[in-house]
Amino acid sequence: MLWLLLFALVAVLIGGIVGLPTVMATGVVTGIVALAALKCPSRFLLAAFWIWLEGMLLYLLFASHDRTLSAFGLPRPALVMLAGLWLAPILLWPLGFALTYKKWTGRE
Amino acid sequence: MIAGAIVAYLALLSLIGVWSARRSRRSSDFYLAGRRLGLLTAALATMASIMSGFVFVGGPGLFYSVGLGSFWIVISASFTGAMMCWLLARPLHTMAADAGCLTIPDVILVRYGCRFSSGFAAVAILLGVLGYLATQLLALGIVLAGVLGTSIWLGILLGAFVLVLYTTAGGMVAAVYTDVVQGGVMLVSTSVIFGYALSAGGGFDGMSAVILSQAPELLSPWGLVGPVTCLGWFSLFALGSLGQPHVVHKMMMIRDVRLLKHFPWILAVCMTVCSLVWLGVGLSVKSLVFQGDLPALAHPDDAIISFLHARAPAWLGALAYAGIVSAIMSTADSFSNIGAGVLARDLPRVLGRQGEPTVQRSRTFSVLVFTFALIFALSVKGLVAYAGILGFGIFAAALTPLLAVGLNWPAANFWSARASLIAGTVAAVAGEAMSRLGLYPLQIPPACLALLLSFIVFLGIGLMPKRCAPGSA
Repeated sequence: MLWLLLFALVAVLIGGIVGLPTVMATGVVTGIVALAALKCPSRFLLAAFWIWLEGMLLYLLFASHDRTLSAFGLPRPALVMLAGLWLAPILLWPLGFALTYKKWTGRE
Repeated sequence: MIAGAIVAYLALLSLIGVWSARRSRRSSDFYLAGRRLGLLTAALATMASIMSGFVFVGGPGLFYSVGLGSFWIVISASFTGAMMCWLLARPLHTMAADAGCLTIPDVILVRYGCRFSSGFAAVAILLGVLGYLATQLLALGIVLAGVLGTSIWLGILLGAFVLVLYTTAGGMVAAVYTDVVQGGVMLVSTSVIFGYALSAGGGFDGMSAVILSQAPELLSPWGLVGPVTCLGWFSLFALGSLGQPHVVHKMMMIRDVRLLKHFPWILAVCMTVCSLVWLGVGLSVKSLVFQGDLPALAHPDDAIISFLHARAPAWLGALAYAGIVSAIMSTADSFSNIGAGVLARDLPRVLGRQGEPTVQRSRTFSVLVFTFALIFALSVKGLVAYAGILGFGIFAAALTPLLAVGLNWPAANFWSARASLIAGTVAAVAGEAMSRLGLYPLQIPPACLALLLSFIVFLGIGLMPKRCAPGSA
Protein backbone atom coordinates (compact mmCIF):
# COMPACT_ATOMS: atom_id res chain seq x y z
CA MET A 1 0.00 0.00 0.00
CA LEU A 2 2.88 2.38 0.73
CA TRP A 3 4.25 1.94 -2.78
CA LEU A 4 0.77 2.55 -4.15
CA LEU A 5 0.52 5.69 -2.01
CA LEU A 6 3.91 6.88 -3.25
CA PHE A 7 3.03 6.31 -6.91
CA ALA A 8 -0.37 7.93 -6.46
CA LEU A 9 1.13 11.06 -4.94
CA VAL A 10 3.81 11.23 -7.64
CA ALA A 11 0.96 11.06 -10.17
CA VAL A 12 -0.84 13.96 -8.46
CA LEU A 13 2.41 15.96 -8.47
CA ILE A 14 3.16 15.30 -12.13
CA GLY A 15 -0.48 15.82 -13.13
CA GLY A 16 -0.52 19.11 -11.24
CA ILE A 17 2.73 20.39 -12.73
CA VAL A 18 2.06 19.29 -16.31
CA GLY A 19 -1.65 20.13 -16.17
CA LEU A 20 -3.22 16.68 -16.56
CA PRO A 21 -6.36 16.73 -14.40
CA THR A 22 -7.33 13.13 -15.18
CA VAL A 23 -3.99 11.84 -13.87
CA MET A 24 -4.30 14.15 -10.90
CA ALA A 25 -7.83 12.98 -10.10
CA THR A 26 -6.90 9.28 -10.27
CA GLY A 27 -3.78 9.98 -8.21
CA VAL A 28 -5.56 11.81 -5.44
CA VAL A 29 -8.38 9.27 -5.13
CA THR A 30 -5.88 6.40 -5.08
CA GLY A 31 -3.72 8.31 -2.60
CA ILE A 32 -6.61 8.89 -0.19
CA VAL A 33 -7.68 5.26 -0.39
CA ALA A 34 -4.11 3.94 -0.05
CA LEU A 35 -3.57 6.13 3.00
CA ALA A 36 -6.84 4.98 4.57
CA ALA A 37 -5.81 1.38 3.80
CA LEU A 38 -3.00 1.63 6.35
CA LYS A 39 -5.63 1.13 9.04
CA CYS A 40 -9.05 0.64 7.44
CA PRO A 41 -9.96 -2.99 8.12
CA SER A 42 -12.15 -3.56 5.05
CA ARG A 43 -10.74 -3.89 1.56
CA PHE A 44 -14.30 -4.02 0.20
CA LEU A 45 -15.04 -0.63 1.73
CA LEU A 46 -11.88 0.85 0.25
CA ALA A 47 -12.69 -0.52 -3.18
CA ALA A 48 -16.19 0.95 -2.93
CA PHE A 49 -14.75 4.36 -1.94
CA TRP A 50 -12.28 4.26 -4.79
CA ILE A 51 -14.91 3.40 -7.39
CA TRP A 52 -17.32 6.03 -6.07
CA LEU A 53 -14.80 8.90 -5.89
CA GLU A 54 -13.04 8.03 -9.12
CA GLY A 55 -16.35 7.71 -10.97
CA MET A 56 -17.53 11.07 -9.68
CA LEU A 57 -14.30 12.89 -10.51
CA LEU A 58 -14.03 11.43 -14.00
CA TYR A 59 -17.66 12.30 -14.69
CA LEU A 60 -17.05 15.88 -13.55
CA LEU A 61 -13.91 16.16 -15.68
CA PHE A 62 -15.56 14.88 -18.83
CA ALA A 63 -19.04 16.38 -18.40
CA SER A 64 -18.19 19.76 -16.89
CA HIS A 65 -19.60 21.63 -19.91
CA ASP A 66 -22.94 19.86 -19.76
CA ARG A 67 -25.51 22.65 -19.27
CA THR A 68 -28.55 20.38 -18.87
CA LEU A 69 -30.56 21.71 -15.96
CA SER A 70 -31.51 19.36 -13.15
CA ALA A 71 -32.94 19.71 -9.64
CA PHE A 72 -32.77 23.19 -8.01
CA GLY A 73 -32.12 24.72 -11.41
CA LEU A 74 -28.48 23.67 -11.20
CA PRO A 75 -26.58 22.28 -14.19
CA ARG A 76 -26.28 18.51 -13.90
CA PRO A 77 -22.51 18.40 -13.14
CA ALA A 78 -22.93 20.96 -10.34
CA LEU A 79 -25.68 18.86 -8.77
CA VAL A 80 -23.63 15.67 -9.13
CA MET A 81 -20.70 17.42 -7.47
CA LEU A 82 -22.77 18.70 -4.53
CA ALA A 83 -24.84 15.56 -4.06
CA GLY A 84 -22.29 12.90 -5.02
CA LEU A 85 -19.06 14.32 -3.64
CA TRP A 86 -20.19 16.57 -0.81
CA LEU A 87 -23.41 15.16 0.65
CA ALA A 88 -23.43 11.41 -0.15
CA PRO A 89 -19.94 10.74 1.29
CA ILE A 90 -21.18 12.18 4.59
CA LEU A 91 -23.22 9.00 4.82
CA LEU A 92 -20.83 6.66 3.02
CA TRP A 93 -17.54 7.20 4.84
CA PRO A 94 -18.88 7.52 8.40
CA LEU A 95 -21.28 4.64 7.77
CA GLY A 96 -18.38 2.57 6.47
CA PHE A 97 -16.41 3.49 9.57
CA ALA A 98 -19.27 2.55 11.89
CA LEU A 99 -19.84 -0.77 10.08
CA THR A 100 -16.20 -1.80 10.30
CA TYR A 101 -15.72 -0.28 13.74
CA LYS A 102 -15.68 -3.58 15.64
CA LYS A 103 -13.09 -4.99 13.28
CA TRP A 104 -11.02 -1.82 13.66
CA THR A 105 -11.06 -1.84 17.45
CA GLY A 106 -10.48 -5.58 17.64
CA ARG A 107 -7.56 -5.55 15.24
CA GLU A 108 -5.23 -3.41 17.30
CA MET B 1 -29.11 44.92 19.64
CA ILE B 2 -26.17 43.37 17.75
CA ALA B 3 -23.59 45.10 19.97
CA GLY B 4 -25.44 44.05 23.14
CA ALA B 5 -25.65 40.43 22.00
CA ILE B 6 -21.94 40.29 21.16
CA VAL B 7 -20.90 41.88 24.47
CA ALA B 8 -23.10 39.40 26.39
CA TYR B 9 -21.62 36.55 24.38
CA LEU B 10 -18.03 37.64 25.11
CA ALA B 11 -18.92 37.91 28.80
CA LEU B 12 -20.27 34.32 28.74
CA LEU B 13 -17.00 33.05 27.21
CA SER B 14 -15.01 34.89 29.89
CA LEU B 15 -17.14 33.26 32.61
CA ILE B 16 -16.43 29.81 31.15
CA GLY B 17 -12.73 30.69 31.31
CA VAL B 18 -12.95 31.66 34.98
CA TRP B 19 -14.91 28.47 35.76
CA SER B 20 -12.35 26.34 33.90
CA ALA B 21 -9.39 27.88 35.74
CA ARG B 22 -10.20 25.75 38.79
CA ARG B 23 -10.14 22.61 36.67
CA SER B 24 -6.68 23.33 35.22
CA ARG B 25 -4.26 22.24 37.91
CA ARG B 26 -1.79 20.02 36.06
CA SER B 27 -0.07 20.19 32.68
CA SER B 28 -2.30 17.40 31.37
CA ASP B 29 -5.31 19.58 32.25
CA PHE B 30 -3.82 22.67 30.66
CA TYR B 31 -2.76 21.00 27.41
CA LEU B 32 -5.12 18.02 27.06
CA ALA B 33 -8.20 19.09 29.04
CA GLY B 34 -7.40 16.27 31.50
CA ARG B 35 -7.99 13.69 28.71
CA ARG B 36 -11.64 13.55 29.74
CA LEU B 37 -13.45 14.44 26.51
CA GLY B 38 -16.56 12.50 25.57
CA LEU B 39 -17.85 11.87 22.07
CA LEU B 40 -20.02 14.95 21.56
CA THR B 41 -17.59 17.35 23.22
CA ALA B 42 -14.72 16.04 21.11
CA ALA B 43 -16.71 16.21 17.87
CA LEU B 44 -17.99 19.75 18.47
CA ALA B 45 -14.60 21.00 19.67
CA THR B 46 -12.90 19.45 16.63
CA MET B 47 -15.42 20.99 14.25
CA ALA B 48 -15.14 24.39 15.91
CA SER B 49 -11.32 24.27 15.67
CA ILE B 50 -11.36 23.31 11.98
CA MET B 51 -13.99 25.83 10.92
CA SER B 52 -12.29 29.19 11.35
CA GLY B 53 -13.55 32.62 10.36
CA PHE B 54 -12.53 31.72 6.81
CA VAL B 55 -15.68 29.61 6.41
CA PHE B 56 -17.90 32.61 7.18
CA VAL B 57 -15.88 35.39 5.56
CA GLY B 58 -13.37 33.94 3.10
CA GLY B 59 -15.60 31.11 1.83
CA PRO B 60 -18.54 33.21 0.55
CA GLY B 61 -15.97 35.66 -0.81
CA LEU B 62 -14.18 32.91 -2.70
CA PHE B 63 -17.50 31.63 -4.04
CA TYR B 64 -18.31 35.19 -5.15
CA SER B 65 -15.04 35.47 -7.06
CA VAL B 66 -14.45 31.97 -8.49
CA GLY B 67 -17.83 30.22 -8.20
CA LEU B 68 -18.55 26.60 -7.33
CA GLY B 69 -14.89 25.63 -7.80
CA SER B 70 -14.18 27.14 -4.37
CA PHE B 71 -16.24 24.34 -2.85
CA TRP B 72 -13.46 21.80 -3.41
CA ILE B 73 -11.91 23.19 -0.22
CA VAL B 74 -14.75 21.84 1.93
CA ILE B 75 -15.76 18.75 -0.02
CA SER B 76 -13.31 16.51 1.82
CA ALA B 77 -15.06 17.33 5.14
CA SER B 78 -17.15 14.20 4.69
CA PHE B 79 -14.28 11.82 5.14
CA THR B 80 -11.80 13.77 7.27
CA GLY B 81 -13.33 12.36 10.46
CA ALA B 82 -13.12 8.73 9.37
CA MET B 83 -9.52 9.17 8.18
CA MET B 84 -8.61 10.86 11.45
CA CYS B 85 -10.07 8.01 13.47
CA TRP B 86 -8.47 5.24 11.41
CA LEU B 87 -5.03 6.76 11.17
CA LEU B 88 -4.52 8.98 14.19
CA ALA B 89 -6.95 8.32 17.03
CA ARG B 90 -5.43 5.21 18.50
CA PRO B 91 -1.71 6.01 18.17
CA LEU B 92 -2.14 9.56 19.48
CA HIS B 93 -4.38 8.45 22.32
CA THR B 94 -1.96 5.67 23.29
CA MET B 95 1.01 8.03 23.23
CA ALA B 96 -0.83 10.50 25.45
CA ALA B 97 -1.91 7.79 27.89
CA ASP B 98 1.18 5.57 28.00
CA ALA B 99 4.11 7.82 27.09
CA GLY B 100 2.78 11.02 28.70
CA CYS B 101 2.83 12.98 25.44
CA LEU B 102 1.01 16.30 25.73
CA THR B 103 1.80 17.96 22.39
CA ILE B 104 2.49 17.00 18.78
CA PRO B 105 6.28 17.66 19.05
CA ASP B 106 6.20 15.30 22.05
CA VAL B 107 4.61 12.63 19.86
CA ILE B 108 7.30 13.15 17.20
CA LEU B 109 10.06 12.90 19.80
CA VAL B 110 8.69 9.65 21.19
CA ARG B 111 7.88 8.12 17.78
CA TYR B 112 11.12 8.96 15.98
CA GLY B 113 13.48 9.38 18.95
CA CYS B 114 14.90 12.43 17.24
CA ARG B 115 15.30 15.77 18.96
CA PHE B 116 16.01 17.56 15.72
CA SER B 117 12.69 16.44 14.21
CA SER B 118 10.80 17.34 17.36
CA GLY B 119 12.50 20.75 17.57
CA PHE B 120 12.02 21.48 13.88
CA ALA B 121 8.34 20.51 14.14
CA ALA B 122 8.00 22.75 17.20
CA VAL B 123 9.48 25.73 15.33
CA ALA B 124 7.30 25.04 12.27
CA ILE B 125 4.23 24.82 14.51
CA LEU B 126 5.17 28.07 16.26
CA LEU B 127 5.55 29.87 12.92
CA GLY B 128 2.21 28.55 11.73
CA VAL B 129 0.52 29.37 15.05
CA LEU B 130 1.73 32.98 15.01
CA GLY B 131 0.59 33.48 11.42
CA TYR B 132 -2.77 31.82 11.96
CA LEU B 133 -3.38 33.54 15.31
CA ALA B 134 -2.52 36.95 13.88
CA THR B 135 -5.01 36.35 11.04
CA GLN B 136 -7.72 35.37 13.50
CA LEU B 137 -7.02 38.38 15.73
CA LEU B 138 -7.15 40.75 12.77
CA ALA B 139 -10.42 39.21 11.55
CA LEU B 140 -11.83 39.42 15.07
CA GLY B 141 -10.80 43.07 15.29
CA ILE B 142 -12.48 43.89 11.98
CA VAL B 143 -15.72 42.15 12.99
CA LEU B 144 -15.84 43.67 16.48
CA ALA B 145 -14.99 47.11 15.12
CA GLY B 146 -17.88 46.79 12.65
CA VAL B 147 -20.32 45.65 15.33
CA LEU B 148 -19.30 47.93 18.21
CA GLY B 149 -18.37 50.95 16.12
CA THR B 150 -14.80 51.15 17.40
CA SER B 151 -11.50 51.34 15.54
CA ILE B 152 -9.98 48.09 14.28
CA TRP B 153 -7.09 48.13 16.72
CA LEU B 154 -9.50 48.57 19.65
CA GLY B 155 -11.54 45.67 18.26
CA ILE B 156 -8.38 43.55 18.09
CA LEU B 157 -7.46 44.49 21.65
CA LEU B 158 -10.93 43.70 22.98
CA GLY B 159 -11.07 40.34 21.18
CA ALA B 160 -7.53 39.48 22.30
CA PHE B 161 -8.39 40.44 25.90
CA VAL B 162 -11.31 38.00 26.06
CA LEU B 163 -9.29 35.26 24.37
CA VAL B 164 -6.33 35.77 26.71
CA LEU B 165 -8.65 35.79 29.71
CA TYR B 166 -10.27 32.44 29.07
CA THR B 167 -7.45 30.53 27.39
CA THR B 168 -4.83 31.61 29.88
CA ALA B 169 -7.00 30.96 32.91
CA GLY B 170 -8.47 27.66 31.83
CA GLY B 171 -6.02 26.33 29.23
CA MET B 172 -7.41 23.59 27.01
CA VAL B 173 -10.27 22.94 29.44
CA ALA B 174 -11.59 26.44 28.74
CA ALA B 175 -10.77 26.18 25.03
CA VAL B 176 -12.73 22.92 24.67
CA TYR B 177 -15.79 24.01 26.64
CA THR B 178 -15.97 27.38 24.91
CA ASP B 179 -15.52 25.49 21.62
CA VAL B 180 -18.63 23.46 22.43
CA VAL B 181 -20.64 26.65 23.02
CA GLN B 182 -19.09 28.31 19.98
CA GLY B 183 -19.69 25.21 17.84
CA GLY B 184 -23.35 25.23 18.84
CA VAL B 185 -23.67 28.92 17.96
CA MET B 186 -21.96 28.28 14.61
CA LEU B 187 -24.35 25.44 13.74
CA VAL B 188 -27.44 27.49 14.56
CA SER B 189 -26.21 30.65 12.84
CA THR B 190 -25.05 28.92 9.63
CA SER B 191 -28.35 27.02 9.29
CA VAL B 192 -30.41 30.18 9.77
CA ILE B 193 -28.19 32.30 7.48
CA PHE B 194 -28.36 29.60 4.79
CA GLY B 195 -32.15 29.51 4.89
CA TYR B 196 -32.39 33.29 4.89
CA ALA B 197 -29.85 33.69 2.08
CA LEU B 198 -31.78 31.25 -0.10
CA SER B 199 -35.07 33.06 0.41
CA ALA B 200 -33.44 36.51 -0.05
CA GLY B 201 -31.85 35.39 -3.31
CA GLY B 202 -35.10 33.97 -4.71
CA GLY B 203 -34.54 30.28 -3.91
CA PHE B 204 -32.03 27.87 -5.44
CA ASP B 205 -33.84 27.85 -8.78
CA GLY B 206 -34.01 31.64 -9.02
CA MET B 207 -30.38 32.20 -8.06
CA SER B 208 -29.15 29.49 -10.42
CA ALA B 209 -31.16 30.97 -13.28
CA VAL B 210 -29.72 34.46 -12.71
CA ILE B 211 -26.12 33.22 -12.44
CA LEU B 212 -26.47 30.90 -15.44
CA SER B 213 -27.79 33.76 -17.55
CA GLN B 214 -24.86 36.05 -16.69
CA ALA B 215 -21.82 33.85 -16.00
CA PRO B 216 -22.62 30.14 -16.42
CA GLU B 217 -19.03 29.05 -15.80
CA LEU B 218 -19.45 30.08 -12.14
CA LEU B 219 -21.73 27.06 -11.69
CA SER B 220 -19.36 24.67 -13.43
CA PRO B 221 -17.81 22.18 -10.96
CA TRP B 222 -14.42 23.79 -11.54
CA GLY B 223 -15.61 27.41 -11.37
CA LEU B 224 -13.28 30.02 -12.85
CA VAL B 225 -10.08 28.40 -11.59
CA GLY B 226 -10.07 25.14 -13.54
CA PRO B 227 -9.70 21.50 -12.54
CA VAL B 228 -5.98 21.54 -11.67
CA THR B 229 -6.38 24.18 -8.96
CA CYS B 230 -9.60 22.61 -7.70
CA LEU B 231 -8.06 19.14 -7.50
CA GLY B 232 -5.05 20.72 -5.79
CA TRP B 233 -7.34 22.21 -3.13
CA PHE B 234 -9.11 18.86 -2.79
CA SER B 235 -5.78 17.02 -2.29
CA LEU B 236 -4.49 19.64 0.12
CA PHE B 237 -7.54 19.67 2.37
CA ALA B 238 -8.30 15.93 2.15
CA LEU B 239 -4.76 14.92 3.13
CA GLY B 240 -3.42 18.06 4.83
CA SER B 241 -6.22 18.15 7.43
CA LEU B 242 -4.50 15.16 9.05
CA GLY B 243 -1.51 17.36 9.90
CA GLN B 244 -3.29 20.32 11.51
CA PRO B 245 -2.07 20.27 15.13
CA HIS B 246 -5.06 22.14 16.57
CA VAL B 247 -7.34 19.49 15.07
CA VAL B 248 -5.49 16.21 15.57
CA HIS B 249 -4.51 17.30 19.09
CA LYS B 250 -8.14 16.62 20.06
CA MET B 251 -7.52 12.89 19.47
CA MET B 252 -5.13 12.97 22.44
CA MET B 253 -7.85 14.41 24.69
CA ILE B 254 -10.47 11.72 24.21
CA ARG B 255 -11.34 9.69 27.27
CA ASP B 256 -11.44 6.39 25.39
CA VAL B 257 -11.01 5.67 21.67
CA ARG B 258 -13.90 3.20 21.87
CA LEU B 259 -16.17 6.24 22.08
CA LEU B 260 -15.32 7.15 18.50
CA LYS B 261 -17.79 4.91 16.67
CA HIS B 262 -20.08 7.82 15.84
CA PHE B 263 -17.40 10.54 15.74
CA PRO B 264 -16.98 10.63 11.92
CA TRP B 265 -20.64 11.21 11.10
CA ILE B 266 -21.17 13.78 13.86
CA LEU B 267 -18.10 15.67 12.66
CA ALA B 268 -19.09 15.36 8.98
CA VAL B 269 -22.66 16.55 9.57
CA CYS B 270 -21.52 19.50 11.74
CA MET B 271 -18.90 20.57 9.18
CA THR B 272 -21.38 20.26 6.34
CA VAL B 273 -23.94 22.39 8.16
CA CYS B 274 -21.26 25.03 8.79
CA SER B 275 -20.20 25.09 5.16
CA LEU B 276 -23.80 25.82 4.10
CA VAL B 277 -23.06 29.48 4.76
CA TRP B 278 -20.36 29.33 2.09
CA LEU B 279 -22.80 28.03 -0.52
CA GLY B 280 -25.87 30.02 0.53
CA VAL B 281 -24.31 33.44 0.94
CA GLY B 282 -21.97 32.95 -2.02
CA LEU B 283 -24.86 32.10 -4.38
CA SER B 284 -27.18 34.74 -2.97
CA VAL B 285 -24.70 37.64 -3.08
CA LYS B 286 -23.60 36.80 -6.61
CA SER B 287 -27.17 36.62 -7.86
CA LEU B 288 -28.18 39.83 -6.03
CA VAL B 289 -25.21 41.66 -7.55
CA PHE B 290 -26.12 40.37 -11.03
CA GLN B 291 -29.70 41.58 -10.54
CA GLY B 292 -28.49 45.00 -9.38
CA ASP B 293 -30.04 44.58 -5.91
CA LEU B 294 -26.63 44.78 -4.27
CA PRO B 295 -23.67 46.91 -5.41
CA ALA B 296 -20.66 45.01 -6.79
CA LEU B 297 -18.24 44.18 -3.99
CA ALA B 298 -15.02 46.17 -3.71
CA HIS B 299 -13.41 43.14 -2.11
CA PRO B 300 -14.79 39.55 -2.31
CA ASP B 301 -14.32 39.04 1.45
CA ASP B 302 -17.00 41.69 2.02
CA ALA B 303 -19.65 39.26 0.72
CA ILE B 304 -21.20 38.23 4.01
CA ILE B 305 -20.89 41.67 5.66
CA SER B 306 -22.52 43.38 2.62
CA PHE B 307 -25.28 40.79 2.62
CA LEU B 308 -25.98 41.23 6.33
CA HIS B 309 -25.97 45.03 6.11
CA ALA B 310 -28.18 45.18 3.04
CA ARG B 311 -30.59 42.31 3.61
CA ALA B 312 -30.62 40.91 7.13
CA PRO B 313 -32.82 42.04 10.02
CA ALA B 314 -31.10 42.96 13.32
CA TRP B 315 -31.75 39.60 14.98
CA LEU B 316 -30.13 37.73 12.09
CA GLY B 317 -27.21 40.17 12.12
CA ALA B 318 -26.68 39.46 15.83
CA LEU B 319 -26.80 35.70 15.24
CA ALA B 320 -24.50 35.90 12.23
CA TYR B 321 -21.92 38.05 14.00
CA ALA B 322 -22.04 35.72 17.00
CA GLY B 323 -21.35 32.86 14.58
CA ILE B 324 -18.44 34.67 12.97
CA VAL B 325 -16.93 35.63 16.34
CA SER B 326 -17.38 32.02 17.50
CA ALA B 327 -15.65 30.61 14.44
CA ILE B 328 -12.70 32.95 14.85
CA MET B 329 -12.30 32.50 18.60
CA SER B 330 -12.73 28.72 18.57
CA THR B 331 -9.76 28.38 16.24
CA ALA B 332 -7.67 31.04 17.97
CA ASP B 333 -7.99 29.51 21.46
CA SER B 334 -6.56 26.16 20.32
CA PHE B 335 -3.65 27.92 18.63
CA SER B 336 -2.72 29.88 21.74
CA ASN B 337 -2.60 26.66 23.74
CA ILE B 338 -0.46 24.89 21.13
CA GLY B 339 1.88 27.88 20.88
CA ALA B 340 2.23 27.99 24.68
CA GLY B 341 3.09 24.28 24.61
CA VAL B 342 5.88 24.88 22.11
CA LEU B 343 7.43 27.71 24.16
CA ALA B 344 6.89 26.32 27.64
CA ARG B 345 7.80 22.68 27.12
CA ASP B 346 8.65 21.51 23.59
CA LEU B 347 11.56 23.81 22.82
CA PRO B 348 13.02 23.60 26.35
CA ARG B 349 12.83 19.79 26.18
CA VAL B 350 14.62 19.74 22.85
CA LEU B 351 17.30 21.94 24.40
CA GLY B 352 17.76 19.44 27.23
CA ARG B 353 15.56 20.83 29.98
CA GLN B 354 13.86 18.06 31.96
CA GLY B 355 10.55 18.04 33.79
CA GLU B 356 7.11 19.46 33.18
CA PRO B 357 6.48 23.19 33.27
CA THR B 358 4.08 24.39 35.93
CA VAL B 359 0.62 25.52 34.85
CA GLN B 360 1.59 29.05 35.87
CA ARG B 361 4.56 28.95 33.49
CA SER B 362 2.32 27.64 30.69
CA ARG B 363 -0.13 30.48 31.36
CA THR B 364 2.70 33.00 31.10
CA PHE B 365 3.75 31.60 27.74
CA SER B 366 0.16 31.60 26.56
CA VAL B 367 0.07 35.37 27.20
CA LEU B 368 3.40 35.68 25.40
CA VAL B 369 2.06 33.87 22.30
CA PHE B 370 -0.89 36.26 22.19
CA THR B 371 1.44 39.24 22.62
CA PHE B 372 3.62 38.16 19.68
CA ALA B 373 0.57 37.48 17.50
CA LEU B 374 -0.96 40.82 18.51
CA ILE B 375 2.22 42.71 17.61
CA PHE B 376 2.32 40.84 14.32
CA ALA B 377 -1.34 41.57 13.57
CA LEU B 378 -1.00 45.28 14.40
CA SER B 379 2.33 45.91 12.74
CA VAL B 380 2.23 44.04 9.43
CA LYS B 381 -1.44 44.02 8.46
CA GLY B 382 -0.70 43.52 4.77
CA LEU B 383 1.15 40.30 5.47
CA VAL B 384 -1.28 38.83 7.94
CA ALA B 385 -3.61 37.14 5.44
CA TYR B 386 -0.54 35.71 3.73
CA ALA B 387 0.70 34.41 7.08
CA GLY B 388 -2.64 32.67 7.66
CA ILE B 389 -2.48 30.87 4.32
CA LEU B 390 1.12 29.99 5.00
CA GLY B 391 0.14 28.58 8.41
CA PHE B 392 -2.14 25.89 6.96
CA GLY B 393 0.44 25.02 4.31
CA ILE B 394 3.27 24.66 6.83
CA PHE B 395 1.20 22.46 9.13
CA ALA B 396 0.05 20.28 6.24
CA ALA B 397 3.44 19.88 4.60
CA ALA B 398 5.51 19.55 7.76
CA LEU B 399 3.35 17.28 9.85
CA THR B 400 0.95 15.18 7.75
CA PRO B 401 3.40 12.48 6.55
CA LEU B 402 5.02 12.20 9.97
CA LEU B 403 1.67 11.68 11.68
CA ALA B 404 -0.69 10.07 9.18
CA VAL B 405 1.88 7.66 7.73
CA GLY B 406 4.65 7.56 10.32
CA LEU B 407 2.42 6.62 13.25
CA ASN B 408 1.11 3.63 11.29
CA TRP B 409 4.28 2.44 9.65
CA PRO B 410 6.93 1.02 11.96
CA ALA B 411 9.65 1.14 9.28
CA ALA B 412 9.54 4.94 9.00
CA ASN B 413 12.67 6.29 10.62
CA PHE B 414 14.04 9.62 11.75
CA TRP B 415 15.80 10.17 8.43
CA SER B 416 12.44 10.13 6.66
CA ALA B 417 11.05 12.45 9.32
CA ARG B 418 13.91 14.94 9.12
CA ALA B 419 14.00 15.09 5.35
CA SER B 420 10.25 15.35 5.03
CA LEU B 421 10.00 18.11 7.65
CA ILE B 422 12.69 20.19 5.99
CA ALA B 423 11.43 19.60 2.43
CA GLY B 424 7.82 20.31 3.37
CA THR B 425 8.48 23.45 5.38
CA VAL B 426 10.95 24.96 2.91
CA ALA B 427 8.68 24.18 -0.06
CA ALA B 428 5.63 25.66 1.72
CA VAL B 429 7.43 28.90 2.63
CA ALA B 430 9.17 29.25 -0.75
CA GLY B 431 6.03 28.40 -2.73
CA GLU B 432 3.84 30.90 -0.88
CA ALA B 433 6.55 33.58 -1.14
CA MET B 434 6.84 33.02 -4.89
CA SER B 435 3.08 33.06 -5.24
CA ARG B 436 2.85 36.36 -3.36
CA LEU B 437 5.57 37.88 -5.53
CA GLY B 438 3.83 36.67 -8.70
CA LEU B 439 6.68 34.28 -9.55
CA TYR B 440 4.79 31.02 -9.05
CA PRO B 441 4.04 29.66 -12.52
CA LEU B 442 1.87 26.60 -11.75
CA GLN B 443 -1.87 26.15 -11.33
CA ILE B 444 -1.54 23.63 -8.52
CA PRO B 445 -1.62 25.54 -5.20
CA PRO B 446 1.88 25.93 -3.65
CA ALA B 447 0.79 24.43 -0.33
CA CYS B 448 -0.43 21.32 -2.17
CA LEU B 449 2.87 21.06 -4.01
CA ALA B 450 4.72 21.29 -0.70
CA LEU B 451 2.51 18.63 0.87
CA LEU B 452 3.08 16.25 -2.04
CA LEU B 453 6.85 16.81 -1.95
CA SER B 454 6.92 16.19 1.76
CA PHE B 455 4.96 12.93 1.40
CA ILE B 456 7.12 11.74 -1.49
CA VAL B 457 10.36 12.44 0.40
CA PHE B 458 9.03 10.71 3.51
CA LEU B 459 7.87 7.62 1.65
CA GLY B 460 10.83 7.58 -0.73
CA ILE B 461 13.42 7.50 2.05
CA GLY B 462 11.39 5.13 4.20
CA LEU B 463 10.94 2.65 1.35
CA MET B 464 14.61 2.64 0.34
CA PRO B 465 16.32 -0.73 0.74
CA LYS B 466 18.19 -0.71 4.04
CA ARG B 467 21.62 -0.86 2.42
CA CYS B 468 20.85 2.39 0.52
CA ALA B 469 19.14 4.24 3.36
CA PRO B 470 20.86 7.24 4.97
CA GLY B 471 22.94 6.26 7.97
CA SER B 472 23.13 2.61 6.93
CA ALA B 473 26.92 2.74 6.78
